[in-house]
Amino acid sequence: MPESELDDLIQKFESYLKRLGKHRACMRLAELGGACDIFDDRIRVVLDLLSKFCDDVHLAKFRISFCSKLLAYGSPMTLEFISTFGIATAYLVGQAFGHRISLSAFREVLQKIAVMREVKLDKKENIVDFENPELNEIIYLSEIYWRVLDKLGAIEHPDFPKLYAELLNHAGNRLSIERAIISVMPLFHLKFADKDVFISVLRGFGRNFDGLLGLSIAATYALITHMLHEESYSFSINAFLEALAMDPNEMLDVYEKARSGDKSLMYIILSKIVDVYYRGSISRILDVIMRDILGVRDAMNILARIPHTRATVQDLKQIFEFIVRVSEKFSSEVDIGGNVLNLLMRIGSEARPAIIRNFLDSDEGRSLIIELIKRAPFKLTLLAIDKLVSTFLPVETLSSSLEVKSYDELCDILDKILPNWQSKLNQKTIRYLLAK
Amino acid sequence: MHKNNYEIMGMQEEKLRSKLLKVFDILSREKIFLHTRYLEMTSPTKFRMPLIAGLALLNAIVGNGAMLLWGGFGYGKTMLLKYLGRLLTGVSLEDIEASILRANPNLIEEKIVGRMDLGKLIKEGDEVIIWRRFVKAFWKIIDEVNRLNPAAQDIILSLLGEGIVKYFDDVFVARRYVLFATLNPRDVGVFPLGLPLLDRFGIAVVVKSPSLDDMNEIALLSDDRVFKRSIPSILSTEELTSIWAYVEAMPLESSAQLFVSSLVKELSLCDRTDKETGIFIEFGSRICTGCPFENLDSVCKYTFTPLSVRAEKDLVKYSKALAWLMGLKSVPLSVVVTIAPYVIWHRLRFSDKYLEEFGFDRFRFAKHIVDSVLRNFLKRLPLLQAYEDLKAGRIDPQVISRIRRVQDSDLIIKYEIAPVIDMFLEDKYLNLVNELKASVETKDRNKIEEILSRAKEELNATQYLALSRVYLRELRKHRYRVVTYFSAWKGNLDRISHVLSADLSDTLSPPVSVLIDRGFEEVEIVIVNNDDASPVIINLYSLWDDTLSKLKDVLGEACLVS
Repeated sequence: MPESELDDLIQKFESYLKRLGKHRACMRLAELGGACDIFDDRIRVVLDLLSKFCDDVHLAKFRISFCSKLLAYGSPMTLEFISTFGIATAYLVGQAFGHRISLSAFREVLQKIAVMREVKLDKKENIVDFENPELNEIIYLSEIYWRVLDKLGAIEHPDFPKLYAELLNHAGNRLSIERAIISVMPLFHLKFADKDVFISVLRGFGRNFDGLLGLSIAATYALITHMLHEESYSFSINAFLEALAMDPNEMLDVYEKARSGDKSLMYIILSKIVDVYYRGSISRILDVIMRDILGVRDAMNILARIPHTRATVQDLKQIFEFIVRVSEKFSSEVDIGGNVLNLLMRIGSEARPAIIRNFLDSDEGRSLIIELIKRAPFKLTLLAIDKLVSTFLPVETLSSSLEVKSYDELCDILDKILPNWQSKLNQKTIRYLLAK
Repeated sequence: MHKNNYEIMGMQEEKLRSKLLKVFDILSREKIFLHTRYLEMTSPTKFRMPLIAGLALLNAIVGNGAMLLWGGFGYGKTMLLKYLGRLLTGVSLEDIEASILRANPNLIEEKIVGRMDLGKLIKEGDEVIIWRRFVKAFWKIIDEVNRLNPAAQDIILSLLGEGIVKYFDDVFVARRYVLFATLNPRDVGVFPLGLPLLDRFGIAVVVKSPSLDDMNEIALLSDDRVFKRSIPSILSTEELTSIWAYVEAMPLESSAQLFVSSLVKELSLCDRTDKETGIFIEFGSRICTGCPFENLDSVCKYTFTPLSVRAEKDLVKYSKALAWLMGLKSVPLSVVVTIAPYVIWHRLRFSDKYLEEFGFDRFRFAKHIVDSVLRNFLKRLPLLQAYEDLKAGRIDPQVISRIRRVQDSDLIIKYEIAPVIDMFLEDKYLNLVNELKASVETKDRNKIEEILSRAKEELNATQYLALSRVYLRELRKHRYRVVTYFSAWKGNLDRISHVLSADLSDTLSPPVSVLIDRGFEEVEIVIVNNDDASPVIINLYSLWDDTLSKLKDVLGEACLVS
């Protein structure tokens, strides 16, 4: 890029205007400006000059070329954000969102800026403990991040909520749990924000379960910190809860849990977000569940809340695998029977019949169901399976391929769960379960 | 003696609570009042109690509580109250039955209050009143209160209002009682209860028909009019009234306190007229037509009458009782929200226009109102907190402009906050409040006293009140709870009076609740009984521990500090 030419043009723009005429000088400025790096300090000056001396057409040319560059870089940054808050802030935000930088590198950058800007921090020990060192570290980083933004004068700026929410709306679906925690934290420290800001952000995260999980962690942390340390209930948290369309009693529950520092609040928030905003695939949720990031009770709760309309056979397999895996181990602490009943009823009423049929029809599906009965020998589980099989299993499957065994060890288990099951279960289910 | 009393002090509260909870087990085991509706709480801890019996039990532990059970005949309301009386006071069922006031339209004063002792009058010429058992009884039940004629209702009004009953020139002072009244809206020959009388019932509950399962169970029970039951006694009257002291001394969390006042204000404020004058009762919803607040989330349009200060006090009282029963250390917001519908629904005149949407179910409508107030309150809470900050000298121009902006959509902000904020921006107020805060930080008692006295001279009434409340807020963060027993209190009264620089002789005639404002610290004393082993609870709010040390020196081992 001809940097010296741009510098020269900027410095002597008024004389260039006289010499070359308005159109040629402005076109040249728009061209050279549009070729700048996205975090080039001169962008703001170019924008100022174009706004002051040139026509809309020149400004549009500059915007188009600059925005296509942002797009090409995959940066969520917008020209409005850069021009309002300057390069330093835009650069930091871009890095926080994970643009071309690893988390460890970001940590170094952030800590350097924090020292430079004399950002005072609480000791790590004073930060609400999430009983997970990695999570605590990320939260600590997010604390530095919003304080640095505050020092840079961004947080108090009246346009910050809207413009920052726009960035999160664009970037939300790409953020990891860690990046989500860091990047949404400033929102919970805004002095004033209305619910539209949060609605825009939550919609941006609509297909990213990891991001929503991170957002829930950040919200929980912010709520507890506000309530425990500052004894205050911030405007932005209020707006956030409004965006979740909570009824007054749910809001009260959140309020009381935050007051007592109860971190299970995170799952209340996450379930509500999933209920209202999540539009992604079930497999993303199952990925997180399988990584044991969520507790069994919370995972069950979330599975029962997500819409299953777009579930695939693979999703159903994963759901059953999860239930089978946790059933035996956690049956004492979680009401597996009741949860399975609710979950299967929801799947039965929402998932496409063809998908359920294919799942039931597969060998893997059948063995998972039998395994579930063995591991979770509860009446409710059996009744839920009976309902699912009798409603969705194709008749031709039974008549053609399944030959019934006269005796099976499963019969013993069925005897224990439901005495006289032969007359109580649907014949289709019996043949399905006891087939050779 | 000491060890015994110390044990009583340390463990009595817990023992009393578990005894009360045992009452629920007995009611369930003996299949008394099979109405399986529950009052459930999930936060701050999980708690569940049977709704009707539970609320009746709260009424017994609040101190001179009065409860209205509203429902059709034959649902077991009076029977429950009789059995509860036996369980909670140890009085026999026969005695409880004998003191029930069974209302009818012809009940005259003599049959309710008392009669002249004719023997004494004729023989000695003395006008001696023989008070009726209902008047003297601790456990008072009025059956079918709406069958009392207006004159008889006035007697009850006086009893509930001033705690006195008059007959000829004599006055009976009912210092301690628990009162229940049943009301059957479907009865014949009834008189409507006036709003002032309804307002004197602290809590009210609708008793509905038992559930299908309960009905099945009830069908198998023997008729208790023929086959008498043996009901144990769980508490004595003295034990029950000891609980009153613990309940009264429960502190209210600040958010709960703010909610209570917000509820009362939201229902009382009107942008167009004054609800206190009763003008709404005359003109109804015409007043709201075209009002900008009618289409907002504001609840002012729902009620034609304001909520009384008595209602506010009752809400606090019953919330304290529930929080105490739950074993909490203070009263949280969730408890107040749970109790609120039961305290307000019977006291208000609702707008028919909105009541109709709830099938004219007044309780359900009151619940909706409480939910709406809660939503508004949580929305407003940051502003209320910012307002408190403002009074404490922390100025934020953005918050001030927000308060000014919000006033068009929030009556509380418009009438209670916006008009006074400028007063807290005056230099003289800010200087004093900042000096006060600095002195609180350094715990400079002389300086604090000097600032408070200067404030009285230099500030206007609103500013001075705000400043003294800023200090009170600081004090409330430093609470010591001292529990001793009455004999120790009585034996050391002179020394305690000296320590607290107050005349405490009134405390020897409980029940009393005394608040001593010592300028730089505050002391609250609650005494309900004058038995030697009865608890005396002292809440000391102070930045310093010298008063506490002196109290400990005086009371020695006979006190428990927490």
